[in-house]
Amino acid sequence: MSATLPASPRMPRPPPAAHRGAERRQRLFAVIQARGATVVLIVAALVAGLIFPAFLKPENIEDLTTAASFLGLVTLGQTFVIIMGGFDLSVGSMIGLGTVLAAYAAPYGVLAAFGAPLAAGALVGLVNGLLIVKARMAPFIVTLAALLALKGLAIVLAGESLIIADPGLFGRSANGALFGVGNLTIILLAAYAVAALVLNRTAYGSAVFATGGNEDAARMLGVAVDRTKLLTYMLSGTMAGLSGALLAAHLSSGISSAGNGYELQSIAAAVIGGVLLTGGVGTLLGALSGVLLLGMIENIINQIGSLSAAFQGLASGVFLLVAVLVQSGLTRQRSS
Amino acid sequence: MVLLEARHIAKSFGHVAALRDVSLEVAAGEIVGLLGENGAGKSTLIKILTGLERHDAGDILLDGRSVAFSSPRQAQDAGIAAVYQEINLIPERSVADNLFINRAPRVAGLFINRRQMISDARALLSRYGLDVDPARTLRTLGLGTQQLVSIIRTVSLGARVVILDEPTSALSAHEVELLFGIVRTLREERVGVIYVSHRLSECYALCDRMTVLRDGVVALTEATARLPRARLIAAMLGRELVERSRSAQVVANDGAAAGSSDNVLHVEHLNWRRQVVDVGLDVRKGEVVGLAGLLGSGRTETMKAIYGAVTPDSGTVTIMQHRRHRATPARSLQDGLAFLSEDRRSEGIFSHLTVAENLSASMLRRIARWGIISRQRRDALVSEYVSRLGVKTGGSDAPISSLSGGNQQKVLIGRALSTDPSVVMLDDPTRGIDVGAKAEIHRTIADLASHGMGVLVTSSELEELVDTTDRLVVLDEGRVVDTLATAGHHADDVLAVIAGMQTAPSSAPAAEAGAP
Amino acid sequence: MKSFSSTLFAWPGGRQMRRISIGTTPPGGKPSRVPNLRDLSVYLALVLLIIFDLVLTPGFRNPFVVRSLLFEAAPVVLIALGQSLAIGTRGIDLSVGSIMALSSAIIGISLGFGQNVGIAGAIFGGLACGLLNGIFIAIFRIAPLISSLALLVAARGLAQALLSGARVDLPMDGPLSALGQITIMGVPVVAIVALAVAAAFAFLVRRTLPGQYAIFVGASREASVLAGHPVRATLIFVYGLSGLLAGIAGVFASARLGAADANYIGVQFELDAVAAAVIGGTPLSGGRIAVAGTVAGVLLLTILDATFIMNNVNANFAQILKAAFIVGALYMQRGRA
Repeated sequence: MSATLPASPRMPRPPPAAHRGAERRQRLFAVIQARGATVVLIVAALVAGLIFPAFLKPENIEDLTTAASFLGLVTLGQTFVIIMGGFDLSVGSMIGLGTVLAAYAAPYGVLAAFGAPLAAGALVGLVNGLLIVKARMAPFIVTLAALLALKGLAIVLAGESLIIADPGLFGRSANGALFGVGNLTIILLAAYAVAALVLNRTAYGSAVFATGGNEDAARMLGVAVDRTKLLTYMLSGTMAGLSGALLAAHLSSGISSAGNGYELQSIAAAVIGGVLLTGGVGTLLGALSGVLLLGMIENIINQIGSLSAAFQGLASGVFLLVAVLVQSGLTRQRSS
Repeated sequence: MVLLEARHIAKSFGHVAALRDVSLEVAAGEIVGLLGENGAGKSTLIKILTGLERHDAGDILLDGRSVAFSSPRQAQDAGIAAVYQEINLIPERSVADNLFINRAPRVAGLFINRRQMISDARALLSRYGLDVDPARTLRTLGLGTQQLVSIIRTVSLGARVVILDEPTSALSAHEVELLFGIVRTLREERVGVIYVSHRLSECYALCDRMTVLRDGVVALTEATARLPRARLIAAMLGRELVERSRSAQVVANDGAAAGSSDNVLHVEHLNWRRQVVDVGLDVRKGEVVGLAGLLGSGRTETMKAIYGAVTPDSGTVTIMQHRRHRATPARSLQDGLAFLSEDRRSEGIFSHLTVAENLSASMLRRIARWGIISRQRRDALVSEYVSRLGVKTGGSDAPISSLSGGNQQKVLIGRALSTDPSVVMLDDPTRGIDVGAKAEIHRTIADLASHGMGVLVTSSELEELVDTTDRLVVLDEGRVVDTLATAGHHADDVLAVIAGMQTAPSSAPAAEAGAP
Repeated sequence: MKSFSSTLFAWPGGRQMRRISIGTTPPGGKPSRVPNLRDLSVYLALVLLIIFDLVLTPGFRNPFVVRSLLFEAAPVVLIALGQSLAIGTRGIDLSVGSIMALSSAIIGISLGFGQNVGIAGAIFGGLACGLLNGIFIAIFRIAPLISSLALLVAARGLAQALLSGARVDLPMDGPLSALGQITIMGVPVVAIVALAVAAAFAFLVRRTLPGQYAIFVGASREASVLAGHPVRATLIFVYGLSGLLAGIAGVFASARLGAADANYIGVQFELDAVAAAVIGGTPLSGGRIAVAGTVAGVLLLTILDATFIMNNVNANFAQILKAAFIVGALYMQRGRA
């Protein structure tokens, strides 16, 4: 019995043409998925600029980014969670609680006004994470319960709202400007830049992708899956706390109902931006584009005086539906 | 020098003994083939060696020292790594990311150095002869290439013993050559390799020694050079080989049957994803036909393609002279074709539901009027099948999970029969069930045929198949290679046929062609 | 046990990648049909809460209070039933609250055509949304969570656009006002309707083809396909029914409010519906639908809210306690999946 195959000269065989075509198509779909929202954003902004001359004016752009920054910061955390294969419904209430805590702490200085909501957010994320990782409960239920509980807590603490008498430096942290650019815009962009670095260039970022991409495989590959989950829920809570603190500074008050609905809007923004709810896929640039697209819809509807603000929900909803359909179509194309 | 040694390993799950007494050793620079049919205990043994399961009895020795792993991580740290059939990588990440996950080169201890990582990955891939762009997303590669990446990752962790669990099932011929190159490189590097496969030609091409498991014991361990193919197959199928000349056994070649009015099932030119290749077969009224072949020969896939559980790429299926287009399971049942899956747990039972609900799952439409299910008729039919098939249950409202495997299987056979089929396909109906229940299922099959039903059946035990069928259709690599009547014959005869086929697989070297 | 989220997301559009199992699950397991403390816990909690209220909550025995509770609970019962069916197929329907708002908006804009037309249009609108959701899920194979989330945003947006964000007062006479006020022997008509729907639902789930198919699909989609079940049609039916019930719930809620209001009706009701279904004993892992438990779950949550209000405890502690209930209920269900 001869035990060897003819020694194979490892010649690289050219793949058949059909295969190459499929490969190119797959890459194209992947690019559309990752960058589609950004392209749509730019095109839509240019078109809007043609129709409404006021739209592309720097003041209006700044208005848009300022208004979008609160959703943007929450969506940042949400994006990490979704890429990791979970999701966080508690962020909306956490914003409200964050504003209230910031309002309470504001008299004790800027550090306290930021520290309290951030710490609370991290704590909420830790509790969410522990229930999900250690008690092995569904993220849906855990974060839903947190949503209800935090909303209750915010109202218990503040009633409807709590005015910050002398916002001072705390107020300026959100409403000031640097080199003519609003602080909120700067914070938003800086946060996404840092987050992109963390997500794409650190071991933690790789672990986030691996956990969401294939949790069992990630475990087998030695990724610290549980720790990654804990950290990511903490990040999401902290970002919601930060968003709340900045909102309180912006409005000079703590409002318990602030951030209502942001839990779903942040998921929507991420999905529009090409972050797959199945986990393991997504970019921060895409998520930011999703946030700005939603912000743009609001902004444009405000520009059209005759159009009621009520259309905003419809427009975002239709947008989300289309995005979901396109995403699922792209995903199916890619896997076929 | 023996690297890894397993001594008298035993392991049970509940009352089922998966391994009874298995010993295996691998030396440095040795490739050991591990073979056996489904349920022989291969995967349990691998899980024990890699720390996924704990053994009940026996010892594992690494470098002569007794070891016990409680997690794959521990086994990996000790130098034992496994690559499974399922690709345990992250599909949406790049090849380089996957190769270096958790150990990427960094800048300032914090940020991953992508450029370095990509060039490291390129070096690693080319060392094992794989020409792939490391920046590509893993999922855009073929499954075979993904598997090779997975193997390269594992061997690059510095493992001293590498276990490859059916690594070639998704590989093309070219990729198999690459894999062989990797494995031979490992041998040169004095790594011990355990190679699990059901492709005999590959084992012969690669392995220094082979160990065959059957029913949780070692059926055979022999150096490849001293192991004739027929003896290997006999060990896998649990038979002693008696040499006979092949021509004597092939009694009826089935050409005449096509189009015969007795045919309840007629299949022509059926193809599905290269796993079912141009399959044609017939089942006549009152006939029990066996689909024979080794694991991976396409038995299950053929049945699923006929049933419509997977959509065939081409081919026709005719049931009771009624030619079908676009088969779906629901239509198959309506047309009188029932199917029992080999995967009882995930494709058969509804595990949280009752015996009655499980049994009646396919006949609901027949016992319903205006969409309302008649309790009376359901209970009557359920108790009829429960008693007819001898299901031992604590009542038809007991959850199906409280039944033994054999009784669960009888419930599922009852479900198939409740649709009043003219043909029934049973995929390994006696797998993993006790002897008593086995005999009852055999009786049921004979009974069905005597009432005029056509039966197509598979089994991982050849003797069982020969004893319980009228005719065998032999599959190899998805093709029908022979059809023979079993009347008056012995399993040995069929074995010789299969062994004859196996000596000339398409990918084997020419020196091995020809029947023994 | 796998995390529920992965099942929610991975199915039905998901890939097989997640299904790699490590080790083996023990065969058998506890019989699921034997009632045990876990199954009865929702009723036990409900009874304890009612006893507590009867003894300690001033004014709880007032028929007016009970009546108003039932008015509150009726629409929630309807959407929670639809929800339990969706969850039973191992899915979820987050769109129900928004569909209620859309239903309300349809009534608001169609008042000129007569109230009955408005009611019919509202119910039809709910059905249409539900069917759309079902088609996304069954045909396009979008995960139920994502599909219904998209619909949640879109349906409320449509509702707000239809009413231009305004509140439209309903006429003080006619069927709508009757639905919002009329009682039979002290019991609101809407509550009787809700109870009747629940009874029909129990029948649907236990005795009819679509109900049984839904349970089979939830218990094991693979086995259900092989057993010849019409899986896609079942899913479309399930989400269509959920939308239909949400449409009716929107009518009830608008009638009770006396106005059509897209900003108010059904806000976050989807969360209450999920909570009630889960507390009531419908596992998120599918294959089981607890109809009576779902009704009890709704009553429990409604009475809990009222208990806090009536005891002059800050109403919002109820939220926190509700949260605790949901967590507790799921914690007890962990072993069942």
